[in-house]
Amino acid sequence: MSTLQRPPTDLSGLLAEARDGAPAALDAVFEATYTQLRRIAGSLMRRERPGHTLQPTELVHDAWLKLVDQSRVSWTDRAHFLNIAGRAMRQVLVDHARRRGAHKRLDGVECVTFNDEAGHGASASFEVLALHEALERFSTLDARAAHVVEARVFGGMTTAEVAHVLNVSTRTVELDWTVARRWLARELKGDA
Amino acid sequence: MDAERFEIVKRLLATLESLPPADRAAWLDSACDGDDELRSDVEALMNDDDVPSIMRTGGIASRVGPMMAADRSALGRQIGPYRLVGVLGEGGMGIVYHAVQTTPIRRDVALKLVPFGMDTARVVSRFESERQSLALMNHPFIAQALEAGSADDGRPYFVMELVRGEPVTEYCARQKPALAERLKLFLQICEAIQHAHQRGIIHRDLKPSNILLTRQGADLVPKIIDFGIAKAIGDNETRQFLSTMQGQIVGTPEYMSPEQAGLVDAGLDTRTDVYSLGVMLYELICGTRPYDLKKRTALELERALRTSPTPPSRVTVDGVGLSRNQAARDLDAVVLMAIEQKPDDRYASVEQLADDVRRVMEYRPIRARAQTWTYRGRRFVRRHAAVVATAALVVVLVAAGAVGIVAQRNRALASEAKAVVEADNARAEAVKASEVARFLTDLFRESDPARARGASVTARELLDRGAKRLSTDLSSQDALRATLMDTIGVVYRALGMINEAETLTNESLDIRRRALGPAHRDIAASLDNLGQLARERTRYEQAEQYHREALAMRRQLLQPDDPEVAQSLSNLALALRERGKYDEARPLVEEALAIRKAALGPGHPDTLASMNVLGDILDSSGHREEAERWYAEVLAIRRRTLPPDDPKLAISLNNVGGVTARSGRLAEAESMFRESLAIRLKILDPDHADVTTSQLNLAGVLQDQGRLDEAEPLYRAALAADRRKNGDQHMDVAIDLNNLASLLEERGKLAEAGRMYQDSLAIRIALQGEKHPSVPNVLNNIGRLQFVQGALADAEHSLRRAIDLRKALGMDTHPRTGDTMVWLGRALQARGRVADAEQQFVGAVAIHRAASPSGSLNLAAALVAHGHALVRQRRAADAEPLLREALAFRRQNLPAGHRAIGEAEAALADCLLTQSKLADVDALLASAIKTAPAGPSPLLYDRKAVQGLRSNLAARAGR
Repeated sequence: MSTLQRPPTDLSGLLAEARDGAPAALDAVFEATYTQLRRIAGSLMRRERPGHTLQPTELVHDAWLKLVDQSRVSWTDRAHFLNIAGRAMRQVLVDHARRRGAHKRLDGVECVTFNDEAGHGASASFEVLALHEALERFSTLDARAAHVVEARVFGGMTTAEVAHVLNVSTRTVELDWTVARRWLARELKGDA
Repeated sequence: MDAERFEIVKRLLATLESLPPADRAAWLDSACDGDDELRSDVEALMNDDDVPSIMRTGGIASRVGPMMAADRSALGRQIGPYRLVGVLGEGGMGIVYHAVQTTPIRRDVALKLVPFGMDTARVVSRFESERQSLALMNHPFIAQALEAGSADDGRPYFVMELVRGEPVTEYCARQKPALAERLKLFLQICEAIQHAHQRGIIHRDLKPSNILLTRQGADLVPKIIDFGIAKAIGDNETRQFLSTMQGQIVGTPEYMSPEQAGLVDAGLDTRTDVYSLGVMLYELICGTRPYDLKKRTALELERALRTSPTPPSRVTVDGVGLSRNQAARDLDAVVLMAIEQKPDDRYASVEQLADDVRRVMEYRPIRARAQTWTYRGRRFVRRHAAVVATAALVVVLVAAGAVGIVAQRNRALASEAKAVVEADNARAEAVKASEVARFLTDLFRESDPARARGASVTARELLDRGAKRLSTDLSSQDALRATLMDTIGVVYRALGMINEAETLTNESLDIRRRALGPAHRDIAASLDNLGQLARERTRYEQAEQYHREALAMRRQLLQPDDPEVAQSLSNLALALRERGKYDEARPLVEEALAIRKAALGPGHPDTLASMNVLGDILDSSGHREEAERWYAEVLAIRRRTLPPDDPKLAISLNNVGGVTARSGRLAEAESMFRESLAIRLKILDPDHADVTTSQLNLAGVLQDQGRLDEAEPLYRAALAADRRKNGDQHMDVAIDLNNLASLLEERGKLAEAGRMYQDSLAIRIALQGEKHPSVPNVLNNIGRLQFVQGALADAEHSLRRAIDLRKALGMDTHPRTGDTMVWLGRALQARGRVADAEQQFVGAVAIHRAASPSGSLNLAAALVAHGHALVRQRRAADAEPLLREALAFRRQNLPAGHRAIGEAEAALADCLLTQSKLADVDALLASAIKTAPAGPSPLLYDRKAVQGLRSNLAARAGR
């Protein structure tokens, strides 16, 4: 059953399960993280601080603290959490970008903006979506490498953490990253 | 290219990069073996080293800000006659602003601004055509749609009647009204929708955020908003928001009908709204939605939708289910019929749905039962459901001469307490206090007990919510806000969250300074709190400044016997104590104690705390026995008045244990430390600082009793815990290293011990500089170790440095200085400088006698060393009383078989032998040989030496 907006208070147990791969636990962690990230992002929006640069790792860290009882979690759980949070973070941003209608440019028509900030916002949204879509396409070629990109770029994970979560060597992670970013670079350039 | 191919490309690339550049082309040729396409694929990925800016570190971060901030930028803008003044929320299709219309009349409206990407002209014209029909709608439960237009940048906007309220589902989740009431609300909603349908208007975007409950007079009525907008925006554009992407998370708006989402081939009509209402009814009845659509792959989603939804009566949420009677089953049927996938299978109209609901409530047979349902799987196009947070508006009440605030409860967002504050000048203080209490009470009451897994997690969550709320709410209630910040800061500190506490306390101070002027008792309170926080961070100089400032202000503003003055005195004393300024600290705490005794009574916790502080200062400045008296008194009072596992009891046990141990009563001390540790393990986290303290104390006293095996794991545990909590550069870690090192030293692991001492020293000097009492402590240990290892010159250097530092700190007569002097004396003696050595011994004995008139282990050690030296100087007669005294004390206060006893025995035997008093020598040596160490040790006599004495005795006795 779907549950209403009530993420579990303490994810430590779920994280342990999720670490072992239990899909229901992964879902629950994702949902909780997603909800929490949205909440935090939403409350930040209401704080009227134009020009404030928000670090997604701050969001993720905030969500981490709020959702998880720190005394019960190990590094490996944290890595898994970041992994899931990276995906959730990506989704939060993509949602937001889409809502602002940035997923499609009007044919040849420039979007006139209220002011510079809104303009930056529109182009930032556009770029986020472009990356997201390119990453989607890339994942059909190499799902694991796409995962690496998501984990690093959206989740702020280190190579070691990614390697741990994916159960591969750090060399493998680095190779994946190199290949992925080169492929994506070409895609994103082509888009512009 | 496909995944397999890409894998090959990747592998080739990996190998290629590992080759020297010169060889690459050739190797690639042979690897590709004529496959030109493959080769070009690989080459395509070889050359780029330009990381796209969005993928670089900070790439996303720098975009998130503008992305999220941009929505706020619209505020203050003028769109036609409307000025945007606030954000109400964000919907699926744009942001809803609170706007004020300026001409021709002044009124508040809700203005929805639609995102870029819409074809404005078409959208607006469609809305205009709807407007005629919309204008015909006139129903109390429907928010008026007022007009539509296009903004400067071409974006469409819609203006609606402003409705202040809470989504109906959230209200029900929060207030948990009875089922009958929920159904009644539902029927009202149906009534409104039916009204619209009769005028040819389909809402098409019914969802809880569009149905708000608002107060009209004494009643709560529903208000449906956003009529006409969905239609105006149009089907195509709506679908634009849904996209199919392989494997990606896309969610179905959970209230959107299948035909709207493009899954069922059917037109949109009234049954579209029926579906949405059905989902909402489901949710109102049992608290969840029929389908869990937050799956991650298209496949999982199809599977989810192929299953029949659980009938509401069988849904249990948090263990609470509905009754399973006939009425409940009828309701099931009604709901399930409303959410049939195919429109034909649903109720044909909202009126029919409402009718059946009424029948259930009146226990009449319903129509739905006549239907049979089948569910087929569909391929759903999904979009992740947007969680719409509709912010409830804050309505400001103005009372006589003051401002009041009412904030609505909204469980989905950070909890906001309902606090009606009517302040007027006379009652301000009283009101403030009770409001603070109410704020916190509400905050804590909102925690759902079913979710709480441990006190500290829930409290933290609540604190964070409260803290967040403070920065958005109550902006005009400075005094209240400052007090709340301060209070929450205190709680944060108690939980060990120093950063958060500091932030809030600083903010509170700023507010107070602005509002209250340069001196005020509240400002003093904030300063004092900041001082305590600084102390937590071991920034003692800063703490001292804060406390001094607070104290000065309090002395200025308050009576000299005010408890707040005592608090600052006590805190300042603690800060000074940490910096070793014991003489300055003592009178302060004595004054604080006097005040508290008089004002609060001798048994008040604050009074006891001051007694403890005084004890601590006396202890640290070498007045051990006085200290013990104070500690013991506190312990006695606490035992009388507190429950057996109260943490304060643990503190007192710890304190008394400490002085008891240093007076040599080790067994007594051990039982106290054990009790203290037991209490702390019971109520605290195993890594908590206090647990560590108790572990260390117990370990020390075990070590002193020679039970090294039992002590070592405790030391190691403490070190590990402190490293985990504080990182490597922290005083606690330094102390732990010191302790563990001394144990290892005793077990003969001298090299490891030496390293740990050096590490400990380095940390202390890095954190506190040389002029801190703890530095000579470590130097003492290092010097002793060096002595034992035979590095006499180094030992002398270290020990002298320790003594000099202590002198510089005014600790000439501290027992620890005495200890160091003993070691220095031994080092000097070993180098043949007998007179200098004796000077040290004599001095040491004097110090120890003064500090502990009834004797101590340190005194015993000094006596033994001195006696030993005297014997070497052929003054055995002078030595004898000293050695006898030392031996007696050790026998009395150490467990039998402790090697220190053996040492004293050997020394006395030596002394007697030299005087040819052979009587007891044999017995002494027989005992000494049992515990004499084989290798290098801090003891004066090792096995070889004792054996030598024995032979000596044998030789003499033989004569």
